[in-house]
Amino acid sequence: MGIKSTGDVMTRIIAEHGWCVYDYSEYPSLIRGGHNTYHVRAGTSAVRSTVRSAQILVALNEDTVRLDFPVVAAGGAILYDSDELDPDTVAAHRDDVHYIGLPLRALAVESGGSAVYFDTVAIGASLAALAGSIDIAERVVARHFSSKGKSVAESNAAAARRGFAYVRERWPNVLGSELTVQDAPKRIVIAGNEALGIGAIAGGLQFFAAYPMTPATSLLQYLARVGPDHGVVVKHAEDEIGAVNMAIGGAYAGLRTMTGTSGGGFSLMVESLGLAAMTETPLVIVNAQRPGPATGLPTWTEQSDLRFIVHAAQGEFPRIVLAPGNASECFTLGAEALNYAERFQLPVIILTDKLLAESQESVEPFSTKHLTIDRGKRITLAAAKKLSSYSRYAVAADGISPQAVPGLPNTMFLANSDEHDEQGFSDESAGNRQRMVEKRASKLTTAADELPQPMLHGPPEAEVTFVGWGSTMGAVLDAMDILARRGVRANFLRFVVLWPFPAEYAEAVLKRSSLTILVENNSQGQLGGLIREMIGEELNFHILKYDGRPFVPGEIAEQVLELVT
Amino acid sequence: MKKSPKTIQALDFATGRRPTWCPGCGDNAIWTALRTALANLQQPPEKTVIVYGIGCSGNMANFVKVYGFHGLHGRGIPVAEAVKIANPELTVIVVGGDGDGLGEGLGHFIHSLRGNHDITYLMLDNQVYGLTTGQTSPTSPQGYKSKSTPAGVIELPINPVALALAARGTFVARGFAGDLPHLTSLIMEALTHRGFSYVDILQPCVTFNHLSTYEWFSERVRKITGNEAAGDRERAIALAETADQLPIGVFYQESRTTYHESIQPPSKTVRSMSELSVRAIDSLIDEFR
Repeated sequence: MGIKSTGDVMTRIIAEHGWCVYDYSEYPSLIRGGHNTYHVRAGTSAVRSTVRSAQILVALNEDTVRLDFPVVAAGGAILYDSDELDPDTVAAHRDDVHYIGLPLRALAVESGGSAVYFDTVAIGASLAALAGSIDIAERVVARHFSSKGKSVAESNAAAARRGFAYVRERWPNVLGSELTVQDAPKRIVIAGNEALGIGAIAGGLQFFAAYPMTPATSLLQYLARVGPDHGVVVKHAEDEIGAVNMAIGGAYAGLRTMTGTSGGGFSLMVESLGLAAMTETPLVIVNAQRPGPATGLPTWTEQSDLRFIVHAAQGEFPRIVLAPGNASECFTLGAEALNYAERFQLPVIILTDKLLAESQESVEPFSTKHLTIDRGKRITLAAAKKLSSYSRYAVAADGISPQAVPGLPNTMFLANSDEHDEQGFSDESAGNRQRMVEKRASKLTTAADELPQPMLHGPPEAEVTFVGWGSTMGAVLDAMDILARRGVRANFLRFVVLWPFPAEYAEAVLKRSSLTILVENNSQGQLGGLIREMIGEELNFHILKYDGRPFVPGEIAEQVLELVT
Repeated sequence: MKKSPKTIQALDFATGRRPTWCPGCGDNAIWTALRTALANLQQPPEKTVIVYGIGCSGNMANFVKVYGFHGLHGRGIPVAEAVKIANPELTVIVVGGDGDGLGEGLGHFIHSLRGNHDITYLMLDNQVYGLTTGQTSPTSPQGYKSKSTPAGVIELPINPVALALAARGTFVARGFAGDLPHLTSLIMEALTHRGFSYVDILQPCVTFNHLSTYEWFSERVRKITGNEAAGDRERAIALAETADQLPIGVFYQESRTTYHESIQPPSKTVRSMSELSVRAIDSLIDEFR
């Protein structure tokens, strides 16, 4: 199997031991070849980020030895096929690392399977080094291969067992730590895209149209697989402009709709963003960010579309921009975005990124207990029958006018991309134009009062206040733990709603903070600029990372320690 | 004879706003033909959705009393497709020009044909960009001089009828604004056809297109006779490609399952009117345990 599968199996084996896991994979924009890695991090309590050191490096090719050997922590191990590789010919020998070389392919064949099961042997071997349970591993491996038939499943289970026995015999207690089985509450292991998909389904999604684009593709594919059995029509559109206009058309006709893409696809959708706003048609767009501009780094991570998304499309109109920080928030916001879009009749954009979309983390199983469906002001069939006239865009105090849908009697109207009057007819007069601009804008004021405030993690008062949004959440929270152990008290102002910008709340927190530190996965400190613009407050220090990789907690903590000590 | 008060008439589809097209514009006739066709079919206005593109043709949005959606240039088709999926009981029509549909919107046109989405597409084809004041269009003849192509356009024109046939259209027709009764009955046939119904409607632009005038059209337009295309796509394409001729009528028609009839979950229910409640997700969560 490919690295993605091997890594996923490892993640699930460890999770089944009752440990919390967080995985992260790096892969180039290729189908075959290139350097592919899968990082699995585990802890007995919540694990929320990835790190750059490893207890075990399973090196399945020479590139991995050459490129990743330095990440093996002192006392750790490198595991490899001794028939295929000799790490000493590739990298300087390290006395502080255990060299676990075993004939992976030969063992695969020996256990009754095919040489291609060498990675399953490696899984068993790694588990032995971790002193985990082979019974759990066999269960997970068999389950993983169950769709390929009993024989393949059993052969792989046998391969894992063989690798496990081989290493346990020759390198007993090699790492000096144990992957003990934990008595833990049942968790699920899930990535942001799938979590968002489930949230949207829970929230009544009825139509999803999209065009494949990394790292949003798995959202389309997940919904295409499970959607139809849960009331969702899924359309792989001919292009992104088709996708977003289908989402708009579906919403115009009364469906809960959504589309998803990455920055380049969003760029194509920009004119249509304005169409949704102008016609006051509910729309939810997921932008799973990646480094740009243009094709950029398709398979890497960055959060550099903030300014773009907050301002996209010509003209001025209201929008809501949401930024989940982990898989649980992807679930919740996947549902709530549909409510916001219909309640305020405007475009709602959910910003994620490759790190959040594709990293799997242990979470409490999602619950729909707190979810509701709010379809906003809508003309019902009963109400329509009684109407003698109807103005779709009637000016209202809160800016929101009741939405009718095609098929209802007496409520025919024109949804118009031209500036229009209260019935929707094209109208270029000065008074009408001003009134309509104000009507649309007032919806944002209404929304601002109802949307959730930013999160403040940690104590209300602290020496250091981190400021950020989105997927940096995990690394920042973990950095705060490191700092706490070093005697530095920190809190974290995290924006979940980026637009309408929660100026009041943010200002209150920032004004009482002694040292404010922006942590962002981009080069321009975009959130910092937005804060300066909206509050007039310059953050003290920027920690920015824009090499396509996610933050690790250590690098954040290190920089802060240098500042405060 | 007492007229039934429930009879739908062409006037029921008028909004009361006076059309803003130039006197002599083909859009006036096409607007009349469309309303007459809808009335003849007794199509309820509230069950009718017309998605308009941007151009002079798109301005029809203000003059037809149905559920209208005046969308973006070239982007009417995907909107219409989703409307039909949302509520297959609606009759969904797209009205746009040749620039809108063959310039900006060419991709959507082809994909909708191959998907056989059950919408009716009326392409108001005057071989020029009218609303932006007279530039060349994808159907302008080669060498056409305009303010954007003063040296004469280099490309050959698109033959939208041949294109629609090659893209697997199940109802491909052409009409002419100069023959209102023929056009009206053609639109009725298009509306009745189950599947993507394409009607290329030739018309002059009296203000900007001094080449393709009513006289110019009359020299080339002629009705397709009974057996000419005879249910054969290749013969229909050959007919469409006949030099110096613009045959009008139905080039080709076939029956093929429509898009919304093929999707999962099935379109049996009118989705857009359904009550929505929070959905159970336990079975979805299981896969991630």
